[in-house]
Amino acid sequence: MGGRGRHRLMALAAAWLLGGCEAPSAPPAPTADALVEGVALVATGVAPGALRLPDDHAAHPRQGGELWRLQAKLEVAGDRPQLFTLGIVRLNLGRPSRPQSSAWSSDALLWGWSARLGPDGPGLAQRRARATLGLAGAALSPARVWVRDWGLALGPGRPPWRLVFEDAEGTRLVLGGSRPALGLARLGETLGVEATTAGLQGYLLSGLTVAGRLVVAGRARPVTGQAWFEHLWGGGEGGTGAGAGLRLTRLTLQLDDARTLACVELRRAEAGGRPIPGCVLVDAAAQVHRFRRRELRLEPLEGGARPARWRLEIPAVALAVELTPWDDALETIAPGVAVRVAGRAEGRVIEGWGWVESIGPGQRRRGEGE
Amino acid sequence: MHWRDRRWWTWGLLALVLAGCDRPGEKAEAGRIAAAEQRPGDPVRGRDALLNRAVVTCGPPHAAYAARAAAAEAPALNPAGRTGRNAELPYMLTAHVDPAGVELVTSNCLGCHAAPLEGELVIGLGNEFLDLTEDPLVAIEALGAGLAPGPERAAWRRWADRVGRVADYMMTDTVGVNSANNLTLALMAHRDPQTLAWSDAPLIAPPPTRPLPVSVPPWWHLAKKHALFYNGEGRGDHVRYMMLASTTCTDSVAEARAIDAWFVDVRAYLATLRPPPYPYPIDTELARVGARVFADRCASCHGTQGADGRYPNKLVALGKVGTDPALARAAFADADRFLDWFHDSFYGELGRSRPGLGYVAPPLDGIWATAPYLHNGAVPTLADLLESGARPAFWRHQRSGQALPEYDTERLGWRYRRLAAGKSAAMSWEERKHIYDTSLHGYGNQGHDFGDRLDPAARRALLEYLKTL
Repeated sequence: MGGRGRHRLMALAAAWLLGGCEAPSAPPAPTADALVEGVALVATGVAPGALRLPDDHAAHPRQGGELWRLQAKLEVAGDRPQLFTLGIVRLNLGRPSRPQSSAWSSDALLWGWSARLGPDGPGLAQRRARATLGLAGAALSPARVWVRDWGLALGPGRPPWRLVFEDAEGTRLVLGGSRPALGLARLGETLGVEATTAGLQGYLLSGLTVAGRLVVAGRARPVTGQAWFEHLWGGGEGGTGAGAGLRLTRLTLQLDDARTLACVELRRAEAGGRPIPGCVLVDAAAQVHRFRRRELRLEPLEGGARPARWRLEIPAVALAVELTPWDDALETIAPGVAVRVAGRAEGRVIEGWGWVESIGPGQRRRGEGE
Repeated sequence: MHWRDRRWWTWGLLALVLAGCDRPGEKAEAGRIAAAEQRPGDPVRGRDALLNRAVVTCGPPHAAYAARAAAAEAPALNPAGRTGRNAELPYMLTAHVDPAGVELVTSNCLGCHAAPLEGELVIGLGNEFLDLTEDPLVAIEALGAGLAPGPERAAWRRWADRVGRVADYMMTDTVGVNSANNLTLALMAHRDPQTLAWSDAPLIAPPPTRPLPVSVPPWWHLAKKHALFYNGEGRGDHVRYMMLASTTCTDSVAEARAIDAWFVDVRAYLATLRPPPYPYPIDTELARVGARVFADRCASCHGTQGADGRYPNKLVALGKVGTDPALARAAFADADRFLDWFHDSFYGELGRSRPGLGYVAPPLDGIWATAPYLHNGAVPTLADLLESGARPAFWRHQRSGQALPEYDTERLGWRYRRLAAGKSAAMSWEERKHIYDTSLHGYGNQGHDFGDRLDPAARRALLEYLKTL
């Protein structure tokens, strides 16, 4: 991959997390091209070579960018549930051409953000630091990533998974689970792409349980819940240049029968063409089922470039659900839209929650004059 | 009127009505198919046109194609005679410059009608390993994603939108089976028969989105066949029938006429093709015995070889041949709208479709090379074809990745693995798509059980003889 391609992929990782952030001090948003290219690669491609766990659970410092993200629904005793999302991205700045005399010199920058929506209203927090002097970094063993006071310990790279997030305020969330990791390639295959030389690789851990405490404004509350975690990296080699002119929507849904659905929809940003959806269903027994375009129906129930209301039907598993925004407020602080899931599965009423992210040229937040 | 006269009138009217339902003249009875004169053409010019002229006139811009990493690789198996840009492209792609001056890369006939054999590309050999199970849409969108607005993007978009409309009619669920006939019907459904103008919305009901499986017949049979297709359809002028599957972007009669003008040469070239000789040893004594078996049991339908050989062009009724009826029935009973379209169009001016409720017993020239067998490719080897009890219900070719399977010189066909269960037991789509499942609609391996009447020695001799054809 040439320098330009690497730069775009690095920008992607930041955009993935920060594209939705409104903080005045946030760095300039990367170009839409970079964003779409990278996202399309996430959906359709894998980095050269197969996913190698447990090693890949740790950081990939030679890659251009890396992302760790968890999304959770937290139950708070006697109160409404909280949606919580946390992301940390590491951007590789490249090796300096000559030795640097400053102790502040660094080859990586880490950004973290968290967003929550719950009884206390929406809230956003960010951390940024260079990977130097212990302010931020990504350690290989034990696998850990941190930025300032935020730390995410990743535990062993095989089931049972154990991930622990902590901050200086006292929040401590322990995520556990035993389902196998779902490689990004499996999701890409649902679009009809078996393998590419695209530059991103990663995996999703689904069906995680959460236990711990959440501290907001000095008030600590015990929480339990469900979560998934994803770890993406790339920008090392490969890259197709594909992606500009495409819009990609990701839907990650947790159903209340313990099944997780990870879906993507690729469509042309301009009018015309046919949307191309694909889904992976991880069932309660951790079996992975893939569904391609012709095996499912995924359609937005509202117009605009960034719809949040969707209908998803997968006849093979008698699943038909509709997605509606959890609360538009969350979208003002986080990429994507948190959604409620409601419908039927094999004749039973089913509910759930999830996240919808639409990324591509001309993307605006809902209500921004689409 | 006397009551007896009235009765005749009633019968007469009834017969007229029923005959109308059967579309006399458009559908065929079992039996011999009459010859029809073909327009003359120049086979030398035809070969050059087949290899270098675009019959499909839309495709991705060359710039977008060349940006793909795979485009940098030297094309494999390119036949001699590919010139200019075509020499740089894989044999199944042809360069074309559209009216706006954009250089395109278009698909051509050889994607289905050429295949490697013994390390060489054989023009005319049906590609029985073509994978039409893949959804083409992502690749199509990826090719256009980097194109800025302008003529190139417009050209890409025209092609992408067309293919997007018909993709579902092309996609099969088993690697190796072909869907070109279903694609042809889908393209008809989107065109006005009189003007050939394209309509994004279908103008008649399109065909089903699950194509029935078809094995691509070899082109070297063309000189002998009076009807192009398995069910006896495709009579009269063959040229325009042959063009029909490639009309993705032929949007006017003038364009179709221009292609027709040089496609007569292509047909003339195809009529000169002969099968490749069997490349492995043959037991000539045993083959001589087999020749007698063939003459006694097979020749009346499949014809004879040699200087005084004859081919009867016989449409055999479903009830007699007994092979999977779905393809013939669909064309006979569920396709009247397409028959009407064809006969109302430029393409039907010189031909008659005349589908029948049966299948034509094909010539057997080069039959050793054309596995799997029957019109739907349901039987993997000739040995299985000659012994119906040996046919596998579920099977897949024994191959590693994209490599061809080894040729089985005992059973005459590509090596395969017999499976205990069909697609429903497969754990992944990747596994499922390689399984030939004869329990599926249209995929049946029944019928043509004439070989069952032979003793094993006679079957062995017959197999040896078939190597010589």
